[in-house]
Amino acid sequence: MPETNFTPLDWVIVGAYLMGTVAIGLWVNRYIKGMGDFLVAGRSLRTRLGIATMIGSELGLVTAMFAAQKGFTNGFAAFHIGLMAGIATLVVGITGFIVVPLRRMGVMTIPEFYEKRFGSRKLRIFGGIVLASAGILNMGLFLRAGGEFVAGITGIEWEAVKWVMTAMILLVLVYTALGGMVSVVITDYVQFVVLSLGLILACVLAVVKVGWSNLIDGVYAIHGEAGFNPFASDGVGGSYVGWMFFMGVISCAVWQTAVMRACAAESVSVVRRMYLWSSLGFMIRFMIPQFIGICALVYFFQSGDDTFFDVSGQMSEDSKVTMRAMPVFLGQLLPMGVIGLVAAGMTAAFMSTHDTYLLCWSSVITEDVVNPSRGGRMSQGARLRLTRVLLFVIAGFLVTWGLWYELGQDLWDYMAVSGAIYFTGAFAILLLGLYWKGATAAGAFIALCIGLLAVIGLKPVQELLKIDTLILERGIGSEHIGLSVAALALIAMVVVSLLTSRNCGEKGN
Amino acid sequence: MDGWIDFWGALLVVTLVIYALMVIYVSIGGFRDIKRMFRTLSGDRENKHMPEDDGHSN
Repeated sequence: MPETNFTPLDWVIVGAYLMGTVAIGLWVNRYIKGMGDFLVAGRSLRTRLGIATMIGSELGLVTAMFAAQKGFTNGFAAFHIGLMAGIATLVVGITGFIVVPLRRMGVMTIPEFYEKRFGSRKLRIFGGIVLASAGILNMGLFLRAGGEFVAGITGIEWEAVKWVMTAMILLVLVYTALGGMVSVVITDYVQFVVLSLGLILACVLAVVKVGWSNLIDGVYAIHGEAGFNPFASDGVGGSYVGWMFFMGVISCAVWQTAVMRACAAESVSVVRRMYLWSSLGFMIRFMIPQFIGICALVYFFQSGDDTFFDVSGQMSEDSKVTMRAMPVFLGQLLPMGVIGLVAAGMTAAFMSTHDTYLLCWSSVITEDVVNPSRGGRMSQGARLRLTRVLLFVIAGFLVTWGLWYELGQDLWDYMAVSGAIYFTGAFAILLLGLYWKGATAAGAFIALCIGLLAVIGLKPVQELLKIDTLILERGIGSEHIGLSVAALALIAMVVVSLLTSRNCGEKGN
Repeated sequence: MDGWIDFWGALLVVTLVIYALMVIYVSIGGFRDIKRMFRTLSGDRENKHMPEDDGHSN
């Protein structure tokens, strides 16, 4: 059990915060009058609330965990991930790339765009299945990451952690099922304020504790030049940096949760402002936790900790161990009361991410798979009921998957690859569908199918196919697989669109 | 390598300062937006879309 400064007072702070969150969910239920209110808050989001909710949902506990892990395993060089995410979001904000045309079309989900653009209901249903499957798989390890945080910062046993996490999921379900997007934006806002202040304070305390020059020396001693230069010979490499820029574009312009925020905005000008301001948030959501991860790296290295380093000073290669470094460090760094506030902000962030994603994937299944399969004849009441039932079904899956899946790679890389199953195909469809009149439904189908190949990037799948040794020998990383699949989907969609529009007389809309 | 150290250090400080200012701005403005959102949601309308782009937000 790790040493920690967490006291009963901190538990009271966390408990009071969580109860307040549920009360908000119960209270806003009175404002929900239909599916539009439930899914996109009646499209009434304005700029500052939009920024808070966008950063709030993306700056979650899981983000903090995987970003801190990257800081721990890569040192300062990990900052390139945040930098690429910030630049990508800024470019999307300036140009309105993908998100502005989507908002103009008034769609609520990406598969809805497929049907509107290509006039194919089958494409919408297939796209909905791919999106929801990849999305649910993507959030499959959120619960474990959250559990590792709670265990690390509070010092409680893993058995107790399981019950704490299950209780938190139930709380999320209660207020999301009742309040939908309205309760989601309110809790995102509160979480944004509390967590942002807590993380900034934690950064200041961490640098005071470890010392800046000591930090530089420590990272150099552990990682060498690769701890600072992502392009160093033993660093992450140019292709990984390129993959991170692509991931940055995807996270803000193609990933369904971000698109839902854009679609919930009051107007197109609000969408642009949200993205311009959020670019900083998309950068900081990586950089702050990564910095705390770097501080943890040097702190445990210099204190001779045997959990994260062996006797010869070699860093642990076990991803479950490195993921735990940040919360254990915070547990030993922060004083009583402050640790409670940071833990409350983090658990709120955990809940905020879950409410956003649960609402997102359950609504995609309802709106893009079940309702279209029934000819779009489901009443608003039936769709609301189904969405609420699906919230519970997906939560049940998360509890199961989170307990037995063997990670085998950094959490961030798992998430990038599982998300790629959807977004490599979706990126091609959105890009060509929005900006090229010649794109056809057949081309879109092919792009989605090719996108499924991204599943090869997952370690257990590589082991199942017995290609894990080959991939290791050739130095093929998840970034190579992801970028190759994205390029392949793009090319295939162009080729098939050209063939089908000429041969079948099918025209793009 | 010194160039990278200076670059990452400067980037960290600048983003932290700007982010801290943004947190204050969004915290105050967001609270006002929440009040407006509730007024909109409790108004007399049935899930109809807002105007496409009225060029006005705050």
